Amino acid sequence: MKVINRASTWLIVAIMSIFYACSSGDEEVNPEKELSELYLLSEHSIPNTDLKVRTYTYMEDLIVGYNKFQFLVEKSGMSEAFTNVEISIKSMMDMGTMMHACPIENPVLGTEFESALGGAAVFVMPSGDMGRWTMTLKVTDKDTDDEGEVTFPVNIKLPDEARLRSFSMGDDKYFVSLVEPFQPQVGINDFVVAVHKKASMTDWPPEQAFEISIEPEMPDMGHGSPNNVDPVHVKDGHYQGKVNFTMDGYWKVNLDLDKDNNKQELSFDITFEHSSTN
Amino acid sequence: MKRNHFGIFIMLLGHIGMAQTAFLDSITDPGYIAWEYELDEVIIGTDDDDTYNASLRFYKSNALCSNDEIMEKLVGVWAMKRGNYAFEPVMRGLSSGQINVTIDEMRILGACTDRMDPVTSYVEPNNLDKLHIRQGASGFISGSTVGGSFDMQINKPVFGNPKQWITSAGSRYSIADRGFSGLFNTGYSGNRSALRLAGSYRKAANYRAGGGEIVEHSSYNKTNLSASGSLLSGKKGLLNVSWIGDFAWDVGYPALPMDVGSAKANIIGLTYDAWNISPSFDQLTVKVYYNRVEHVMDDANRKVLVHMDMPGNTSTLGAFVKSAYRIGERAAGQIKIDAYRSLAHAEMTMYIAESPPMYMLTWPDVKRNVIGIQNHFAYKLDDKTDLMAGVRIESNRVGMKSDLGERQVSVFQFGDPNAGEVLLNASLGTERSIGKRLMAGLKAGYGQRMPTESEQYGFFLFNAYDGYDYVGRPDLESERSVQLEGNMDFGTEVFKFSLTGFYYYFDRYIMGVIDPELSPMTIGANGVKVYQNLDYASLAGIESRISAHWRNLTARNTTKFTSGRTVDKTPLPLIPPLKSNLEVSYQTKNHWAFNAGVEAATRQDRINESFGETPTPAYSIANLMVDKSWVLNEVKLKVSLRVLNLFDTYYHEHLDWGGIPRIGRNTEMSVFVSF
Repeated sequence: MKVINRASTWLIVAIMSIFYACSSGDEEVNPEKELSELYLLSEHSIPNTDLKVRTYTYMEDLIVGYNKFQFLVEKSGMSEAFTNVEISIKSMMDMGTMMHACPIENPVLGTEFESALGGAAVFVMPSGDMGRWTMTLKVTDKDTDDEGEVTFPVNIKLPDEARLRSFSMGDDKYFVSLVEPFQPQVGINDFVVAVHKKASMTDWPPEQAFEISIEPEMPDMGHGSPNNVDPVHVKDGHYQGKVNFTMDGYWKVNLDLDKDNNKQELSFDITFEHSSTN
Repeated sequence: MKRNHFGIFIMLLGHIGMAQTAFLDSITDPGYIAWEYELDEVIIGTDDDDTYNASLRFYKSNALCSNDEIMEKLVGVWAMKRGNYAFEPVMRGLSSGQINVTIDEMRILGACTDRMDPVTSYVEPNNLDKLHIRQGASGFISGSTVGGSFDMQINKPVFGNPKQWITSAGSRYSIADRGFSGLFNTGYSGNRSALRLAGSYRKAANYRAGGGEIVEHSSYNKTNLSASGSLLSGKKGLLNVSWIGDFAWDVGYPALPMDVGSAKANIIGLTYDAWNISPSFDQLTVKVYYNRVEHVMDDANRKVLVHMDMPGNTSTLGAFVKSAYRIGERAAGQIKIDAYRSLAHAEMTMYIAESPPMYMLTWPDVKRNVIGIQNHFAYKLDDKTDLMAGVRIESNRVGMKSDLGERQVSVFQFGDPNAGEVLLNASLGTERSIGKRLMAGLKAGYGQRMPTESEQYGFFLFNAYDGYDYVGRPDLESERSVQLEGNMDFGTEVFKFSLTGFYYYFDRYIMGVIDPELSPMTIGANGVKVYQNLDYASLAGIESRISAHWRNLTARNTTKFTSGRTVDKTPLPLIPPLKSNLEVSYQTKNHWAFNAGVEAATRQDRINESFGETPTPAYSIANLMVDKSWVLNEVKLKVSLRVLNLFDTYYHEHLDWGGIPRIGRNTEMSVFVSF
């Protein structure tokens, strides 16, 4: 009996340890992205002020489409970021015979970072022989009401997969830019597009009157995915929904846009490859 | 016909290598056809065992035949076929996660999401000692179940044989698949230590079906190696370590859109047996085991638009302790505590020219942790009546370890995953002798089983039978079943007859149901099915065995029939029709043996159309075999000639995937020598 008791005790202990050893999961911490992980586009002292503005982008290159920016402002004599500031962006394309602007979302404090201002610009064509893009920041120190401007050139590239589509409806020309998914992955992704109207060469207001439905497909395989959520207008021409990808690879998201019974179809290609970090 | 349940439970424990000295005795036994190669059958198991092993002995007429052939002839067991290789066992219409297929009670999880590598494929007949098959929910041996257990006990080294070294070798050639197989075994038998080494190699080309059609993608190559060593420790202990390595490559599966480039299984077990521990405890077994299976499936040899790779692997680590006990003169039992953890990973990459590869996890690192305790108990009410009871409680924990897997499945927005349940198996039965020749038994059982990896977490797994992609549901609940079984055995010296009838009622039966909202991933698939718990399904069936033995003549017949239906009264899919086997054998005193057999099945038109089933025509085939053995001093030689499917019938069984035809007339020649 002793043998049995000893052996079974030993085994039960062994079994229990096998059984419970696996309860500790590999919890992944997802720290908030540091500003320093973004790409520094430029650093300018603003004339007539004590301010210096650093402009960060989310991609190495600025592209035709929706580009997010973060602006970090420093004031001489202050060790921390200066936040009582107003920045407005103007972006111009100089095509020689003519100039035009593009849709802009002026920076607001604390969109993603406590001490930085987040804004965006939708560049509607690439830099090149046709013309050159410049970006102008108008910065106001609200402590002192000092104000200054800085203009610098930016190089806009065509991305591998288009993130901007345009179409005409009636007399109006609209631009639809893909905001999310910015880093697409298998699973449920936010799907956000920004719609702007070209009212004039310099006026590109957001447009909120569309009804949009989406349908993702994997063109090579001829299948889609379930449980997608059609984007609806949230604010500033942004329409938010969900798109689901069941696997890595080349996807195409088809959009139907509807405004006052005028319909427009367009699509975005979204390709992402498997990384071993699953 | 007298049954001794006191003995049974001791036998249940598996066998002790010590006693296996009856090597090849059966060569002189006229009761069996031909040569009982290394079936050192000294332990008579339960009545169930008896049946199966008598069948096993009988059908294992040739050391070089495959497990598949044996399996198909057992009562209540069918083989589901996807090619010429690795048939999957089906017990009374139940398969996969509904039954537990084990080797020496070790849990093993096949690494193929298409079930190309059932556990039965890892044991070669020259390693198979005994089958321990118990049908139904009361048949729990190593895990909770609704359909029963199929445990293969492999040959162990033998102690105390007067001849220290025994070596044997054999070879077979079969014409219809240009198949060659060879095997080699050697064993050392000492007084305190013993060793057994075995190896086999099989190779076959595309086979020829009845009528002459060549079945493309049906060739295979396989090597199986095993080593087992035992040491006696003291007078009451035995330590054994065993390894099986099974390696297959370039295996074709004509019924599937893919083949297998490589399949590897390594199975290791360490066992300690102690016996005569005390008057109440007859035997104690402690076992620790580990196995890993790697399976590489691809369609490199197929003409397809999109090539894909689907590798998978599993590993299982487990242990159990079991002990037989008796209480007084009338009661005996066996208690067992077991645990295992398994991990299953499978993935799929699809390649299209000029597009990035598409990747997904088909088994997203599914982990399972199981611990169970069970007790089988028998009580002798009087000289004629035995009562039997069994109970098992099992705790299951299932989950996913992959973030990608979590994201994949999130798309479907299923309910909260079923992370585990406590499962119950229970059985109650009685057997009573009526007169000297008749025995009747009645058994009731309840069982539960967890969903399989595929049923819970499988991701767009294509089923070539119905042409649907299958998606697992993490929130599936366990399948439950209540069962009733009655049997009657009649026996004289010359004639034996037994009849079994059963009825299984299922609740939360797990089956794929079409989801019209989902679009299939596989090109050309009919749609997507998502596994669901159906309210109801039932199975009923009848099985009979007849054997007659007169002088040197033996005749055996097994007949099996199962019928099932689902909640909407339609037939359950993949239920075989009535099938019957008849074999007559004759053995002469100078070691000639003749065997003639007929196998027949009726037409199956109780089919499930939404599963993609079509009716299967009736068929009958005939087989002929002749053996001659010589014994010269210590050298034994046997030569066999078999002609299977004598009339070259074109046929397939209902369970055969995609209705691919079975092998046509096949002449086999084999030679076997041992010294």
